[in-house]
Amino acid sequence: MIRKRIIPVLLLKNNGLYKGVGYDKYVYIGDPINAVKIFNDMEVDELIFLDIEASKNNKVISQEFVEKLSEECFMPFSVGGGIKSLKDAKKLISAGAEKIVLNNWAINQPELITEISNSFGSQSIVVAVDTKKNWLGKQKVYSLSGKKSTNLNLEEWIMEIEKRGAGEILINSIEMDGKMNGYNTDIINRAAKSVNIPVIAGCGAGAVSHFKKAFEIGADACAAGSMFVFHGARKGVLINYPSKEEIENIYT
Amino acid sequence: MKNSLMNKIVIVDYGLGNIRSIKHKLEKYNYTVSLSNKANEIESADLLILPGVGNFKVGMENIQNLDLITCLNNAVLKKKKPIIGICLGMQLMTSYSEEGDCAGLNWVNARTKKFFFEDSKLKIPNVGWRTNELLKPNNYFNQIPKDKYFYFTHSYYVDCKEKEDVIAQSYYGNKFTSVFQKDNIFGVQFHPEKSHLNGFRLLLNFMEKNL
Amino acid sequence: MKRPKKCSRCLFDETIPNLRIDENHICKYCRKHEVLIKFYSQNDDIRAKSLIELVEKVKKTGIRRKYDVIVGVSGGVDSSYMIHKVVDLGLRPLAVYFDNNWGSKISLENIKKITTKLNIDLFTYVVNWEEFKNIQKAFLYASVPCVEVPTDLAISSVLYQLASKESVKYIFTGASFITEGTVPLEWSFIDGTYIKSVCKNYGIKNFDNYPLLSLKKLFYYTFIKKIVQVPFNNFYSYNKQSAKKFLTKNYSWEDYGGHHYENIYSKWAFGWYTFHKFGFDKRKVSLSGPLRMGEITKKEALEMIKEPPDINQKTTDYVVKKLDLKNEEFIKIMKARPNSFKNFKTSMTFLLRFRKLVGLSVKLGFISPVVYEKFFDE
Repeated sequence: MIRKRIIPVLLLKNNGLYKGVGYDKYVYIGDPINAVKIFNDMEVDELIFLDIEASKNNKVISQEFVEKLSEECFMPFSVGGGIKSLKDAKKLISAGAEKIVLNNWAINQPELITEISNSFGSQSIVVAVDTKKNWLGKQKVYSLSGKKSTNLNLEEWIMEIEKRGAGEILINSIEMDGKMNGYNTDIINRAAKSVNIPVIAGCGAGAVSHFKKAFEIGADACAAGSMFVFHGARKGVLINYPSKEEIENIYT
Repeated sequence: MKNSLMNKIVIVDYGLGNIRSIKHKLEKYNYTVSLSNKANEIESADLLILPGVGNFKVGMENIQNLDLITCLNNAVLKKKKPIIGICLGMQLMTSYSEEGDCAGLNWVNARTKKFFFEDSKLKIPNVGWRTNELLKPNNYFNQIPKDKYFYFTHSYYVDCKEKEDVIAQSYYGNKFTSVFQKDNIFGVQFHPEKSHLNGFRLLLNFMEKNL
Repeated sequence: MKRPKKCSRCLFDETIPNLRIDENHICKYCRKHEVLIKFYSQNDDIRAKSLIELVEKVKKTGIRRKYDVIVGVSGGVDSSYMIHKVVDLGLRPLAVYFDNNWGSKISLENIKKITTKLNIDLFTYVVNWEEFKNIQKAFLYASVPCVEVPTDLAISSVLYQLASKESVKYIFTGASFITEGTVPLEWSFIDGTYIKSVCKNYGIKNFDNYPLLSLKKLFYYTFIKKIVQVPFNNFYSYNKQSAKKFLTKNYSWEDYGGHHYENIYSKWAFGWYTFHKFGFDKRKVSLSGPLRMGEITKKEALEMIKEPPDINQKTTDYVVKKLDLKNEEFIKIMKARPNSFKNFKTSMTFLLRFRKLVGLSVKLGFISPVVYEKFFDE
């Protein structure tokens, strides 16, 4: 199997890193730059930084912050949070981000995906999709950190995202977030089958075996939050990443 | 030899590419680096970096609109200044790309082609950490362990026509040229500035051996 | 006859503040060591007996509780070896890590490996970086040598908080006067009032998240809650080099270099800042411990400190940038005249008045004699 990426997802709020359970309760993780330094030393595959207050406050993830990150980061990183125009994307990519992550604004203005893709190439744009079952049991897409239902059907939306020119899709299963019980393999599988662009599994990972399972059912990369910042039964904050041996074992 | 104020490293700024990142990292190692799209600065540089992320056609158009073709040719082909092309930068050094059906700088006998797989289990773009197999010894890879992976992110790949120019190959569905070198011209498809410290070592080696 | 400025036994010399050397050319720190050695016997039998007694006491207080001891961990050799010993002796610890936002990959991986293999719970207190950054800057601007004090006091505070919350009576700490010597007070003065005073000078009036340990709270924890801090590594034969080898073999523990180098700020503060600004080489302290125990010779120790500590410029650049200091500000800090904790409001004057009471507390077992020797500088 070709090597697939394992990506820590770090959430930003007021210049600090936070991690949540179920999109509404947050624990302080610490200084983002220190986290980057540690992940650098751990030689992680990639990083994703999402500013979780940006959209809500009608702001964009800070360009200055992205510049600081790019000075410290020796691997690719993506940034997201309130990006809503080509100008926003340009600022962040010039600041040093490899990719920008769209979520709410991809839904509001899908033509933005094409605009950014045409200017910077499809590999520069990841669209994150937050999904959960609605009260009728249908897999729907949600916006605004899982609070607003869009009535978009999951597979239709991700095919649209591909058509519009995005490079990758990050699938977040809202119900699984922060639980560390594994990915929602059903929707990862369905997503991977519907598009020809890489699909990143997000939300729910708690063990290296979850990555193996996700790769086997078609994910091209795995993202995780809680797993890389918590340790043990009491969920003590401790930045960590699988060892080289643990990663090699996925492929044997 | 560490760079003194006498040595000028110029990153060609044609509007595409993660140039800040490369500049700051090299500056941490005491190199003096400037970003430029001015002919006189490019021609008088001691070493050039041609970065690039994005669309081939847009890249070539930007270079043409900025009137950089002549000064680049002068610096690279006439004055033989050492130049490293990264990702799209490497592709621009080829003769042609299927991305936009567009001619390149034509410094290396190679063409840039789109990845295409019958068996669509492999997604496009090729994004991730891939092997880089050295086909012949190369000084720029000194102190970099052989089994190290490098970070690739591209939908098009380079197909080198002259075997002797091919330094390394990678694999994604098929083998493709990941590193070429022709005299003072060096191109890498991966991102050395994003491939951990081992990757950055490649850039540092390029600086050290040419300055 | 003029008294010499160098101790004939250990490495302490004129760079050590307030160094007093007696008529036998032995310094007061060597004498403090002699006092502590009497209390923490080096005789194997006596020591083994003390250890058993202590462990039994701890187990007894832990009945019906989830944990019987709180153990501070940092990923460093002292705390890592200590927590191994704690579990080996049948105790049920809660490992507590104070994250000051300067931890290194090595320290975190060491904590993970050990707590995983020993199957013990980990609690982490992550101090708010924006607030802590200002506290650290306040100490740099104060121009005092003891810049690690905000972290050290916070660790103590968090350990007490957890002990109180979990109804645990014992806190084990990894420091050992035997392996490290007693650090001169000028370099290590630690007190909540002092921190408040230094911070006030810099404009910090309140602490929203930083766990300040006031003297009042310390009294409460010590005399009302009866929580005891025990330097556990003093209760058995403890040698850092052997401990490192053991940990590597059994836990794949990784070495990070010098004393406290597992934390980047400590590494810089002890290895570069105190050396370049104050002319103090802290290695003289950490090597004097083994020297007094006869584990290394003076010649060997002098050889080890022949070259300045190996901290490269990139570490300093990183610290300056992370603290959001402009180069000019940093240069000003480095050039400022050295200051002392004595020029700030501290609890020392209050404590000196109650010196006899503190001595009595040591006798009654409320406080370790190590603390007494540290603060009461004769």
